[in-house]
Amino acid sequence: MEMHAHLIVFISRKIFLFIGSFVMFPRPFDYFSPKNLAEALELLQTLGADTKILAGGQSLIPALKLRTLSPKNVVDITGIKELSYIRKTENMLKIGALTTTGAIENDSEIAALLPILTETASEIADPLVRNLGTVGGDICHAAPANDFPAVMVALNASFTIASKGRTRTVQADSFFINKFKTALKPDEVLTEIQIPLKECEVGSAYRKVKKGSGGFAIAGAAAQVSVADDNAVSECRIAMTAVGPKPMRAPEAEKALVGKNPEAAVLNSIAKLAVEASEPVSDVTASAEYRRKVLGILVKDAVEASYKRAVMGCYEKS
Amino acid sequence: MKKVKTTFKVNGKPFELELEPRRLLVSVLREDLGLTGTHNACDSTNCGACTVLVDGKAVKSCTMFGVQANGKEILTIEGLAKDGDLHPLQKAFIEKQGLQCGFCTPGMIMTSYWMLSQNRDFSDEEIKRMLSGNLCRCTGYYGIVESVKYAKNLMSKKGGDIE
Repeated sequence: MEMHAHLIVFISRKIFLFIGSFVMFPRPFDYFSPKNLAEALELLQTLGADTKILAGGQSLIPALKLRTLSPKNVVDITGIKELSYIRKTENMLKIGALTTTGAIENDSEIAALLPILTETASEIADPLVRNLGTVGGDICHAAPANDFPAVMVALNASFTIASKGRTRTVQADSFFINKFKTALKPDEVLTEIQIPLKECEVGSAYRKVKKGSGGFAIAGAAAQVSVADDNAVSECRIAMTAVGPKPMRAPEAEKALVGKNPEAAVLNSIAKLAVEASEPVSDVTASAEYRRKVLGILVKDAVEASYKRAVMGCYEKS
Repeated sequence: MKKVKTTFKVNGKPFELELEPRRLLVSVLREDLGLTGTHNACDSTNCGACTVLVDGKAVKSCTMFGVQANGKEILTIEGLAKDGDLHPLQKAFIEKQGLQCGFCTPGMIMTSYWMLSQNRDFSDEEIKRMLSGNLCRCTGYYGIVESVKYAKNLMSKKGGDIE
């Protein structure tokens, strides 16, 4: 009996040590760390399509560890300092693609100009992830639950995309194609995000519900509202997170708001139209039905907050 | 798969290693350098037990490759005590019972270190938000928040310097 007991202890210790030493790691890949953009573009052209770009790694590295992605090459662009900046010009906010979401969260100029970016960044995962995760990575990864895609669509942002010897600009609206699929070609890098800055009469907001503090979005709604002199809505853009394969616009809801003030009845009908424009699916985070319920409330909140910001913006400046 | 020469500092000490690129920083710290104070728990960017400081910022070392540490300065829990004297944060976690089983503690302390190194005041709410990337399954977090506040007090008595 005693022998047996010793044997059991011995074996369970071995098993415990074996499991304890087991960590997840990706399949082998070749690693490149270009020091500047020119070097990165050169590399991407020579390495070919079986290559992933590591921008902050907070989505890519988990995917590599789970082996849902196993590229031959990984090009680590985190060292390219020239792609990390926040610059304001007269009518444009320019954000370098490698700016961390933490840097956006803590930027006081952004908080004053476009609080929608602050509220979006500060609800992405957790502060430790935001120290590495980048806004460009969030956009290019294009997971349906990523927040910045919908926000950029609502803000009518445009993206500068570079490949060797060439740059082009793509509107956020046509950048997102499907789940994890964007207009980026394998040899291209997103370098800059440009957000048009308008006069005081525009406001924007993002509202989302997520599962737990670091969890993915169950649903999210981004809105941008412009107001005319009589404080009625003159223009509206709504884009929604995690309720479709890509950021979903709600064109009928947008039209329905124009010329009106967002009173309760108007907001209710907009929410209904927006939910009709969504295509949520059920997954481990939430059911499609629950997503629809939450989405209506989030659209209302986002539109109302955007409208208030648009009206208050003019009030504060006059 | 080529190994990559990686030069970095851990707790002030320089290292030069030939690393397989797919190895995570947490494994390099634990297995190559023997610094097992940094824990690997969920291995999926959720729990924060593997938190270390890279160039002064708290990050999850299970979600960063070892080769990415090239040219960087890393601070782990082993680097906090000076000449056998515990760091105020460590003293505070003992004093205010900021731990029970202790498994999450290295991560909790490293995130708190990053927080306090920013040299500003934090409300209870902000402390909770800053620690939202670190999970503790024992304490219910009350003791941890108290510990961070107490550490801030201890440090301001010493002149407020995080070192």
